[in-house]
Amino acid sequence: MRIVACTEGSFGKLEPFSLEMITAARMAGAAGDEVVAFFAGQELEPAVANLGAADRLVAASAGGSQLIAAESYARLLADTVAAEEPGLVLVPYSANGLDVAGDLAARTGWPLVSYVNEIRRDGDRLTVVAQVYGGKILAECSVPLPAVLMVNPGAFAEVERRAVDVSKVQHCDATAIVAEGKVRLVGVDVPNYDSVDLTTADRIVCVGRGIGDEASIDIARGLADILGAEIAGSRPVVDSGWLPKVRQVGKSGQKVKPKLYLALGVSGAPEHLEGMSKSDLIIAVNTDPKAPIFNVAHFGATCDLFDLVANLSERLQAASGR
Amino acid sequence: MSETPILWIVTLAAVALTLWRARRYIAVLAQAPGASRFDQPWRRLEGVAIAVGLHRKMLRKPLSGILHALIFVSFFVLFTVTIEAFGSRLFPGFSLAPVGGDTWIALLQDVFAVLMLVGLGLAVYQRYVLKPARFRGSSGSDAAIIYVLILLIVSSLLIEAGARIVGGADGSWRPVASLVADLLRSLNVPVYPTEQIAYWIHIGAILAFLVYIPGSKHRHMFLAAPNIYFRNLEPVGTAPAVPSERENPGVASLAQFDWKQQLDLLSCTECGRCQAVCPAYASGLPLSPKMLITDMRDALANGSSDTLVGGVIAEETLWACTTCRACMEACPVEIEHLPKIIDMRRHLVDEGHVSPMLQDALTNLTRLGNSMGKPSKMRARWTKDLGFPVKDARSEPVDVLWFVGDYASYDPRVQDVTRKVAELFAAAGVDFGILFDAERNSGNDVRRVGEEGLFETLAQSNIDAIRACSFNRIVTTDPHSLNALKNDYRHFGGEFEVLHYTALLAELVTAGRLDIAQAGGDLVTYHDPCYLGRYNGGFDAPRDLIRAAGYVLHDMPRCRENSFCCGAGGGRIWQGDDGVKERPSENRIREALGLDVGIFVVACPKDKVMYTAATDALGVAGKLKIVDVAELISLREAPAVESFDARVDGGAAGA
Amino acid sequence: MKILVVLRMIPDSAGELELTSDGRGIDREWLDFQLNDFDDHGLEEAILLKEATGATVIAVAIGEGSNRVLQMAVARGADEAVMLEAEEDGMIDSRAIAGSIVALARSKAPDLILCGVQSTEDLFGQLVPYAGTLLGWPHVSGSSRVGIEASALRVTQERGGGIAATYEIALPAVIGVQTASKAPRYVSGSKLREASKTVIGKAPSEPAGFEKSAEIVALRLPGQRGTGENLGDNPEDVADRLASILAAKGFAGV
Repeated sequence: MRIVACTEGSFGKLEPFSLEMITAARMAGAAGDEVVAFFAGQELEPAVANLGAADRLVAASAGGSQLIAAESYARLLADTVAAEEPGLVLVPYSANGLDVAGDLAARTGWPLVSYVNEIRRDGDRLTVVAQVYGGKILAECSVPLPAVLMVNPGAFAEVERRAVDVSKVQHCDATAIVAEGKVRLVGVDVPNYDSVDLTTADRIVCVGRGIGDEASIDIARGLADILGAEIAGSRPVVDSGWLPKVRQVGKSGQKVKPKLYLALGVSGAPEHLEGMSKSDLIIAVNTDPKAPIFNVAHFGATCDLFDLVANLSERLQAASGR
Repeated sequence: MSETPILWIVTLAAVALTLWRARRYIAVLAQAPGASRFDQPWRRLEGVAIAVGLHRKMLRKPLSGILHALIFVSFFVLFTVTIEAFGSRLFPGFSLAPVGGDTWIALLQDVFAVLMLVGLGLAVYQRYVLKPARFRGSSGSDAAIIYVLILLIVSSLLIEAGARIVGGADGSWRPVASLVADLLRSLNVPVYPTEQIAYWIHIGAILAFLVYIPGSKHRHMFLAAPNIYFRNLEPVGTAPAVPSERENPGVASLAQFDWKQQLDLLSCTECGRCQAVCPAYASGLPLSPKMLITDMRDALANGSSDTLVGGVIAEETLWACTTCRACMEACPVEIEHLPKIIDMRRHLVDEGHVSPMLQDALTNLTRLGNSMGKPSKMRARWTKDLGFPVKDARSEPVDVLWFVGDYASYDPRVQDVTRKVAELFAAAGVDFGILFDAERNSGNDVRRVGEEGLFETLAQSNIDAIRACSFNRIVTTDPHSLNALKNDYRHFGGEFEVLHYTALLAELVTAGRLDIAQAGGDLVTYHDPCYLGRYNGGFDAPRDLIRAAGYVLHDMPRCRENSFCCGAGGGRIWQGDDGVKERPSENRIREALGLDVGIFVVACPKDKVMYTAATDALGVAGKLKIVDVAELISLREAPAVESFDARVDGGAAGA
Repeated sequence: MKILVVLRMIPDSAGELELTSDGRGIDREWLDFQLNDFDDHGLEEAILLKEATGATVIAVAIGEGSNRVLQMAVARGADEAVMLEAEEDGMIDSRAIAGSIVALARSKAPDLILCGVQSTEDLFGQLVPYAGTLLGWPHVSGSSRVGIEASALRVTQERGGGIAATYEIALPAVIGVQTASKAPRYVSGSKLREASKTVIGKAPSEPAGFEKSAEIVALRLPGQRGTGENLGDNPEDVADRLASILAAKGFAGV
């Protein structure tokens, strides 16, 4: 069977989860199944330079636009699927993927399972394990083929990066499709990394809903200063306007890998974990002992975060003789 | 004799001018919505007599009370001078001589003229030398003008009397005026002109005073007694009902307040006693009960068309209030600050102007019946760790229906206390039951936050659940619930006998059903919860229990009706600490630390939470333990214990 | 302009979820249900659009508690309330209800469908792409701003990595709201009580016409993946431990 693994990239970079999609495709396939990487974006270079682990690359580029709207991506994917007739299409769980996966499933009528963490081939069906209820429950599902799966970033390992052999690249020009689209890109906002770039920070103190209100963030800032850490926030904190977007950690924010990640009052929704689970040392404080953040934390505590910050600040300052 | 027409003209002109200056207020009061404050006239009069005659609240600040009493009584006595001064020249031949105007009345006039000056001197001393903080924000010029006018009136009357004595009048009943006469003689002043000038200055000053009154806080001279007369006689714990004529539950403009609420604004003396006791003001939040009233009064006086809520009175001001009622307790003229705040909050809530944290709390209350966002079926989970089952009052008749309350049920810091109370009830053989998940937040603070609609829903739900049960009395561990069940629910047809658990325990101790182990005389202090003490008069039962348990109680300076709020009430526990410079709870702990006691006793779940956090924040958790009354009580069946955290063992419980 | 807003009732996120005895569903008997937070934002965005452009808003709700949520929507400003029949006691599966939403859209002819970008029960796919594709309308998921500028629909989408893209979209369209332009407003209890008299229409359930679907074999609770150490709940002890852990790993003393 043929498997199409969807990949994404923009601003000259390939999204790391693209490499995970190929791994997932290999797991879903039996030996000898062809894995075709699909890419649609602005420039081809990131895809061509990295997706060599796939058997083939079908890539569409639209040149001029800064990034490609999901509408065009989905259209191009649909055309590719019609031409390639795969038994399985893997779409990553990303902003783009949320539109693309369901679109393809509706067009083709194929079954779709979202938020997939594990894939196993069972003859002419697949058995997948997916997250429901924000990760509180895992659903084992049996999926008839052909099908579409929306796969969680971080669930599979990255395949190794290498260049795609020129003979294996099928390039199509997406310019016309983008121009016909009913969704027209009129502007892109990139956060100003001059002020702060969490992705390069060595130490991060992240506050979640448990911080309570904007003024209380100062308390966490005090500890961050002592630790020489950047202050960051989970999505609810940024949505409430208590911290700027550049300081958001998570799926729709920054993906960080600092040496120290201290999570205060963060519950650990899967979208947040996606942004920080690879940090070297994760310490989490949350009064709910069942908070999912504890699944990735190396050290966890269920005391009140304000009490802890006060006590810890005191000890750190005493230790450094300040 | 040609003075008579002049005096008539001047007097009538002054009266007309006064009425004209007062016209705005008269119109406003006449057009205001009605208020039914005309019932129980004797009880109302009694209140006026105590307040005015005994200066009861005034004397809480002794210097202020005494100097005011002096000035106040002197005003009445010296009014006889005014009668004489005007009467004798408006109606030639009129004189007070037949009733003693030249004898005992004259003497009184002399003596009280001096006492008036003494009072005036004390007032000047207090205002300009002591400079009490509560005067901050009050009008300084208003006070100064009054001092000058009183000085003019009194000195002119003494000089006039003195001049008449020099001119040959009988000074035997006027010792002070006689002294003035001596002075005048020694200065060789011409008698008749002096007398006339003094007379006209006297008249002028009095009329100037009269004309000045409508625009000054001295309206209170006329309005204080009526304002006290028309005070609210309903139980203090009841929030104002929404009048059926009102379209929306809240008040958005001054004109929507009823005439008593508006009369309040005109009666304010700017004494600042409310400001001095307000926990929000003390914490640095933008609320001064005094300024609230005077700002609204100024808007009324100017006929300002500025928006009231969010304009004249800022939203943050309204949200800062903890509804502790200390302001109303302190006010000598019975101004009702709290109903105004609640009515204006109702408007904000109706318009959706609530902070995100408050919105979360209200949403949780609407959906789940508790402010924490916890599932309703987990309300009675605290019972699982008891050694015995708790009766379900929904299905079995009980003697005592225990309405537990949100914090006592859900908050882990308080659940231990709740369990202890259950054990004490069981040990005493109380036949009690709870409502399990049919209980919802009582709505006390929901109502005071201004969410009248949600309050009605909660109240109705609780009343229906309670009515379906068979019981004799209701007991609650939560003073806020106590208040709502006992007072507010009356507006919705719920008439229940409700006790705070300390009252029930005190009953049991007196009846000998609780045999309490004696502690070794450790020193403790006790914090009167606002809703148990000031609101519902429950001062003594907790104290009796503390003593019965063998502790020695040292009250804090601000105790009983003057207790200082922990800062959690009125929905403040659902709001952030933005703008708070010193939390009221920390202020209170500092007060307790000044007492050399090791234990701070509380009788309210929110107090337990707030004060534990405060001692942690201040770093004194080791020095001062926050303990609920129930935790102080150990029963004798248990092995001899001295520590308050001994628990009743399983054998004694379940009786 | 006419806007259709979809409101889905999902199990309360604060509650504990238990499995049914056959292990293929969650025990819904003792659960509290709440409005999907993203759908709440969708409703707010619709009301904001109504306030800006005078649009009419039709709210359709599915699941336990729909009545209450529709009353809330009307109290907030929705003009019409419709309840969609749902399979009793089951997951509000977006793939399964897509057909009903599409049928409702064909009968009401809105210019814009707004709903939450996803729901916690979207195991078999999200409503936005299903509805959009079946209707043949453009769809964008994950909006943080939806507005009308010079009679064109402008949507800002959160793309991840903090990047936001703004599009102009031809109507009719389906937008999956992640966050509304402003936080959902509070509706007072008294307004809710007024809205309790709202007449709620009914819409029948329509199949989407998908022949094959995946099926749940078994549900399970995730095992504790965490291998981390629990430091406890005493702030002083925890602070002591953390201070020494941080020092040992070279983090203390900046």
